[in-house]
Amino acid sequence: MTAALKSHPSASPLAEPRPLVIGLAGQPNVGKSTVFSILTGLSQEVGNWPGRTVERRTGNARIGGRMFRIVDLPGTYSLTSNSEEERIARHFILDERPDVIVMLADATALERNLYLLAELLLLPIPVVLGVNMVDVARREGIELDAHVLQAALGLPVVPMVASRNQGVSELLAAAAAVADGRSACSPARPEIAAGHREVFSALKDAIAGSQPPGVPADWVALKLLEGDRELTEQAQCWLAGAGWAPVHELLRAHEDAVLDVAGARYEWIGRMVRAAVRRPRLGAVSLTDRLDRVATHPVAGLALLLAAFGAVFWLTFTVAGPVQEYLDTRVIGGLGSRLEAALATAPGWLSGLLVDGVLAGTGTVLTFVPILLVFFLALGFLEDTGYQSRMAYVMDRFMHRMGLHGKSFLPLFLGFGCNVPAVMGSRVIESRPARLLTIMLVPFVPCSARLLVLAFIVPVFFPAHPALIAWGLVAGNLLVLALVGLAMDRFVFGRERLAFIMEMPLYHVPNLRTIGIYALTHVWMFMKRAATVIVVVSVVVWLLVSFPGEGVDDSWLATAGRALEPAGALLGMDWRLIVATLSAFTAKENSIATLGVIFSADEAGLGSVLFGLVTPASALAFLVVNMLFVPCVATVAAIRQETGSWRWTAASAVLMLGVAVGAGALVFHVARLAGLAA
Amino acid sequence: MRRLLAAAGEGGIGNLQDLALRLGISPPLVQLMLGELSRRGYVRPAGECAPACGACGLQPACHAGPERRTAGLWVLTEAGRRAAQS
Repeated sequence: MTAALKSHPSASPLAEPRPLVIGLAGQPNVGKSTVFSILTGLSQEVGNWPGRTVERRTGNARIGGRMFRIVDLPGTYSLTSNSEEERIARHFILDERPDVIVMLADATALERNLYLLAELLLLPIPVVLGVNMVDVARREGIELDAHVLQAALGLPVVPMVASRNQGVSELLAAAAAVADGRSACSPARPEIAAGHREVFSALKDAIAGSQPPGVPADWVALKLLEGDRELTEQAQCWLAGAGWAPVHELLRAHEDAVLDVAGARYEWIGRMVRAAVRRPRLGAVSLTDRLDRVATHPVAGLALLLAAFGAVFWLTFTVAGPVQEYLDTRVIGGLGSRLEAALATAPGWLSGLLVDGVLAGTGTVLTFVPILLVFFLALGFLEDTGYQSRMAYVMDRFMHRMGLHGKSFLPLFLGFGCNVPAVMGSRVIESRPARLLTIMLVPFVPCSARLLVLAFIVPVFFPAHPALIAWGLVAGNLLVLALVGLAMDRFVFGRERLAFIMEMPLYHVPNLRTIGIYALTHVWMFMKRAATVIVVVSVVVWLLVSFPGEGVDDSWLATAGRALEPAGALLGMDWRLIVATLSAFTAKENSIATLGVIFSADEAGLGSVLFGLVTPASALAFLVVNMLFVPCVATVAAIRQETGSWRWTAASAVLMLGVAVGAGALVFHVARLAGLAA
Repeated sequence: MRRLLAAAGEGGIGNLQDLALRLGISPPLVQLMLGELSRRGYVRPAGECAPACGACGLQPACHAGPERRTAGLWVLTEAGRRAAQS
């Protein structure tokens, strides 16, 4: 049958009583199968395309006394040789030469569908466009003017609703009219953009006449410029010998020509859609746009970001603070007294281990579960509304203005959740200096674990104004991130620009179940850590503060901690705060467990004990150092893995330590000057 | 596509919606172009470790997982940056 068709390429049904051959093309899920079934009914023949495993469906239709032979082409997005379906479709068109191609498009996604049309129009077969699902598009507020589209494209356009058999016979009638020459088909084809038009002409001249008959030189030249693998291999055969060398040289020198070939198609699509499609102005997208006018504004957006952080901490401390205090003083304190009484006859070391070690450490940490829950509910709310993406965007725009072009974006985008995936995410950056700078900046992003620790520790030291202090620390942390990034960008790495394109998600009405699962998952992860790492650290710290047995101030831990006191003096931190800071390396929450063990909080609660022993200036310095201190073990391991270098891993740790000590000392001395050292 | 790369290549983070507005095209068309640029190696999806998300222990803490309502993100590759500057 193929041979017979090829022997009658002129295809005039009036001259020959043969069926009109129609190739039914379209992208997947545009309703092609529905149209094919309506047209062919029970006459369908199903087999495989010659030599392929892809199903070939053909069938006959009789409309108005006219016979049609319909060939259902595989659904494809384009006609490049990327997939077997695409190769089958274009081989059919070029080898079997149907009389007309009927292309179906989805009216709700016309832009995406028109790319295939842009490619079909380059082939020497007339095309008729059926725009399906116009009813769905109308419901979505998309208005298509088929007459305007027909005029713009220069070919027949038939609006249709295939699922209700509307427009199907009109589509076939339009195809017959084109095949008979009763309807004009002079399509406005996309042309290659000006940048490579001369190269295109030269290439076309170089290959003209060598390609098989019926294959347009224009199409071959464009496909070669696009880097089409199959065409490139075939062209080497067609131009065997000296003919291929100049073509190859031309292609090698213009590898970026694909931007002008495909770019021109997109420009063409944009023109067609602008001419014929009207989209809704209201709805979810415009609501997102309206909200984003504030949320992504350079000034208002930054203010909103800081307000959002402030609100999270305010809510956390206001709602959960009293519950935590109750648990700390009544539940854990009371439990400690009862446990001590119950263990009155047990050996002293066992009572000490359980009451002053495990309970004082792990118990103190567990009292913060309510704070944790409220904190993650608030963070989950921000994430589920779609706001969290804007946080990174606004921060990066701020840093872009300061001269840090895109380098901080990936850390901010991924690092707010956890620094580890942010370090790993840096591998998409090809330039090594830019990648290293990104990795160096990641640990400065206040990850959710660090924010959590902030929510833990701040109310212990500053029970009167925890939200204000926590907010100030986060703002300060982000400022340090910007300053470190700028300094390193200027003095260590080249001032190279990184460019990202981001598609903001639409804002959503938050889903309570999603937020609940998010918060409970994090609380559960925390509880598991409390039951393992924190218990172990609590026991170890208890052992170190309980022996050799002369009291805490003469313990092994005190002896070791005092060795570091000269450095701690700069920060106003005594050995106890230094040791608590160092213990955070394994897990950030350990610092509070360590404080619980060292200070052996009685029924008054840890907060009351610390409030009396640590000055506000020292407490602030302790908090700053804890925010900026060496990242957790997992982040350090990720840095080692991604940099492939112990030197860069050490450099990151030293940088963080240096910045933490520097910022801590600055805060301590400023606070002391402000009279907060008493 | 060159104009899109040039606009994005100014550095920092380009919002897809803003880029569409600047280029006078619709956001769905920019999405299509990004898909094409990604296939051609001019941009690369960033912040995605997929398809490994299912087995990743960091998923609960990650902002880029498949279940997250976070942004789609692409980074310009070396070829993309060269094309943006040309």
